[in-house]
Amino acid sequence: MQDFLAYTVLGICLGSVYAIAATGLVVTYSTSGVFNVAHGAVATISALVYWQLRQGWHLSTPLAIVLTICVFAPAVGIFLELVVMRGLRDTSEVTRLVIPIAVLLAINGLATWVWFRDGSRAIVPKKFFGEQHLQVLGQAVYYHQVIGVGLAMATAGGLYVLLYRSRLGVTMRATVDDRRLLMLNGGRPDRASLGSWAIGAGLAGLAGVLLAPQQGALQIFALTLLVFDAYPAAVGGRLRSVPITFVGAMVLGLTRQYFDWVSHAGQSWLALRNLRNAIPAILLFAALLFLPQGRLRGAVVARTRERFTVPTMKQAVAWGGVLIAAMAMLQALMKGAAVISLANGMALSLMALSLVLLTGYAGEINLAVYTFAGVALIVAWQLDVGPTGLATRASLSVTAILAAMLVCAVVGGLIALPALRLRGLYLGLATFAFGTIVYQLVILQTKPLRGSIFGHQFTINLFTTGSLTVPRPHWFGIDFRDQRAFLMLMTVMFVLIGLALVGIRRSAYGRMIIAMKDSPAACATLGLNIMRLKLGVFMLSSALAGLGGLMWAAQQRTLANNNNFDGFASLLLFMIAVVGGIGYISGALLAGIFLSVLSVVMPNIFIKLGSDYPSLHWFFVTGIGNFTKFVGPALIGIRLGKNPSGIAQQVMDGFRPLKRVPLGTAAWASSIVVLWFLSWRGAIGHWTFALVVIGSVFIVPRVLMGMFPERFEDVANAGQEDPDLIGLARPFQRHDRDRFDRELALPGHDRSRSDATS
Amino acid sequence: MSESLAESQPEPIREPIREPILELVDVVAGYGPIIVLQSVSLTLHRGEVLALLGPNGGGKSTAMQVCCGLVPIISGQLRFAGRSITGAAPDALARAGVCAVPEGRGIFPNLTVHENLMMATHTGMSLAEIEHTAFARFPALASRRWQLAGTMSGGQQQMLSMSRALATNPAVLLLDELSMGLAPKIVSQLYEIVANVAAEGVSVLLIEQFARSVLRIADRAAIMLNGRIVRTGPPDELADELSAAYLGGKANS
Repeated sequence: MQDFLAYTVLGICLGSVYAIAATGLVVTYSTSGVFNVAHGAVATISALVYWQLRQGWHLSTPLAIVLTICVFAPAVGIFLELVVMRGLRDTSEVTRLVIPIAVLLAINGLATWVWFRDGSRAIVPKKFFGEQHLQVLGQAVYYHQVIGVGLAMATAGGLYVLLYRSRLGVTMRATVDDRRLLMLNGGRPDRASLGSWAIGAGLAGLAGVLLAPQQGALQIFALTLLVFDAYPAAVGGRLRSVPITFVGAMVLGLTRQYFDWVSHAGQSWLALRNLRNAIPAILLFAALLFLPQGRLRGAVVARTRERFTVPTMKQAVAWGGVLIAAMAMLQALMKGAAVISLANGMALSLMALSLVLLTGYAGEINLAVYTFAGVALIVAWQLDVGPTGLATRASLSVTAILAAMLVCAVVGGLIALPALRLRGLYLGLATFAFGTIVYQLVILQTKPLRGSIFGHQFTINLFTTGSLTVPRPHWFGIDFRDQRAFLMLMTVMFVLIGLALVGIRRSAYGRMIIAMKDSPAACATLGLNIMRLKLGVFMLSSALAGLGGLMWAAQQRTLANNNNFDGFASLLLFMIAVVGGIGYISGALLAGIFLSVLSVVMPNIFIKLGSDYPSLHWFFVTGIGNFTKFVGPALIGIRLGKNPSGIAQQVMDGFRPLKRVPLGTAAWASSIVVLWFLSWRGAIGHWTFALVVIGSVFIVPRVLMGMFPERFEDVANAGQEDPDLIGLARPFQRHDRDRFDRELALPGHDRSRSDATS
Repeated sequence: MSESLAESQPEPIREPIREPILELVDVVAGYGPIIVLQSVSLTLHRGEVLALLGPNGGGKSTAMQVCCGLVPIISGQLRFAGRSITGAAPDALARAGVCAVPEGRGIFPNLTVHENLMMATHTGMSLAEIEHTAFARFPALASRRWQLAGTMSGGQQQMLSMSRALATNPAVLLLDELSMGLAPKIVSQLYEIVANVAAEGVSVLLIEQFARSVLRIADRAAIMLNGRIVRTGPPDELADELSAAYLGGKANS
């Protein structure tokens, strides 16, 4: 009984901090409609700023608190709203999820750059009033915790009054419902949004400062995850209700502490030791499942235009051939290290392909791609390597690949099945929770699982030694341990899967998927079984994720059960896939290459520059190099707001004029081949070749347009003709569609041209 | 009919000439490079009910959105009570007394009726006062005070929208397709209120597709076709031309 009371007290203390974090999330969501994934990152950077002010620069505690929570954190919130979130209005749900992910990664990258750029160092935040404590019901409670409880109660009460009783708060909530109407009523939505972001970020900062001492030495991503733990409370309150969120936070805090009590801090059952850390994710999953969902609504036809053109099968085959040829030519010119990072990129592209099907075509979200990679790895390892730990096979077997894909499909089906009712953001959160659960309970599992089925004893080794190794394939007499050969194998696989996806997209099944994305209600009225469709797509996509993940693992050869699987990698991949162009096979290709090149090659270039010019070393290496490494990908993600259809679309639009000048294009292509040959023979440098090719990509389409103006007349004259006659007088073309987008004031396609209407 | 009413009112200041309150002067407006309004001039006088009629896609709603500041003007002028307010923000216009009830239901579905009415308090009137007048005008709302506005019927939503608009004591009331999706009985009830409000001195710009329902209460009417005002005049004169406009014929008199 004594223990029970003591753990209750601790649970309330923990729940209070969760309550502060979760209500902050509720404030921003209920007043801006954006689920601020970056909430945890704001908390983390605020904790670091507080540490810097209090312990780094020895300011007094009250001053440091005021500067952090009332000045710094709200300023971050206001900055985010002004620069990033404001552009999210009228964008699709995927974009509204991706951009906060990008912000999260950017803030954490920035924090790493500022505080941890030279590797690890011990930043140990202190509690308020140090170790001073009270005795409550026989339990020592730090003043720090008492302050947390007090602040949580004040926050909850204050927010309730603000949101439901004050005009400002009601204005904030009205902003989400209908901005334009609010303006027509004399409200000022921009101010209301700024206010809500400032308050939300302030609460995040407070939560960060309160949570940070729990960790001992501060670790950026771990602290961010600690704030994520509070999310189930907010979801339990449907991201709107402050009182339910508060109760949810208490339930969460108590559950964790009671588990500690029952399990003696996880020591009772070693196999379930990590269950403690998985509790928030389990509760999040549960909250999502039992959450009352809105009915299917027909009226929510999104006013966005993220439309992806579909290539014909012929085009797709042609481009696949071009890709294989280009990759073969390219790798011939590259050094070993560059080939490795290109192959890493190709493996990531294979993983991203699963997202093209799931998110690009079907509009569903999976934030746990790497989890499927982990599952596939475990399955393939059981079959090909076995619990003896010795590599018994020289080649990855086809059986292992198929088994891994099958298991991934089943696992994907199992999470999708209960989550079928969920859509968009909620489904994304459910997959993220699932990823965390698998990470904590399976991937971090170092105890072999023993059991018996029908009398057969079996042992499943998970990451028993902390890492797993899978062999690379040895097929058709080719040893793919050779990096170049494996790169080509993956390229061919990418092309084949890509073709299959284009085939799916062009089939009746593909049209059903697209229809489901556009309007589930309309599908239901047409007699489509949405549940079965969704389940099928999810399983197929999970199998593809497993396949891609397995190739990625084979590319790495040995994978540790470290932060590859902790969720952030999946977030990053998802983000980059959307940035690349989630509706395109080429988008997945760009995404993988991009991720690999940006995080490896760019910093290397700057390190090289730094060693060439020692006096500018700090500028190149610490300044630009590390900055690109830590913050670069995320900044590109934030740019997405400007072009939600992704980079692939932009690239293709750039090349579109070439179609009308086939001879010029052929000349250009053959001159590239000639240059490649010269470069391959060593007549010209590889860098010269690269620069000429990259430069020509930008210049040639424009030059051709200038040389043959008569072939582009209709593009130049767009917007002058009577819209009624387009399609009758001449065929309906792409630029006409752009024009109608603008006329209908559909945002998203290109905001800079349609800003006048927002 | 309310023109004669206006003349009979002993208000010397606006007796001699009818004073314009809201004017569009050669307004060109549209979305991006696409021009929707091609040089529209329209004057709304103080205390008058002006019906803006015409078929779908003629630019009526754009004209209204220009009046309340939601669509920027490319060239031309928007004048309110004699002053140019071209380019003013929608919230500034609302605070100055140009109140719009937009197409569809002008309510916040996730706020309660009470909170919806709270959004009208920016004029300085107390919430209690606003609720009192609103509930007196639409008794159906009183019992739904704590209900989420989005869960009410279409008619009730439109009543809420109207009462919130009227609570701000606007000088100009812009009503876009008030009748859309509502039962005829409710529509005529709403227009009766519009007529009453106009009689109290509020100037009303009505936009309608179903012209018959508003010609009864309008003092003047204008027909809009392909982004131009093609005809302005007393409602009974326009009634005949309307069918021509709707059926695609030329509306020349």
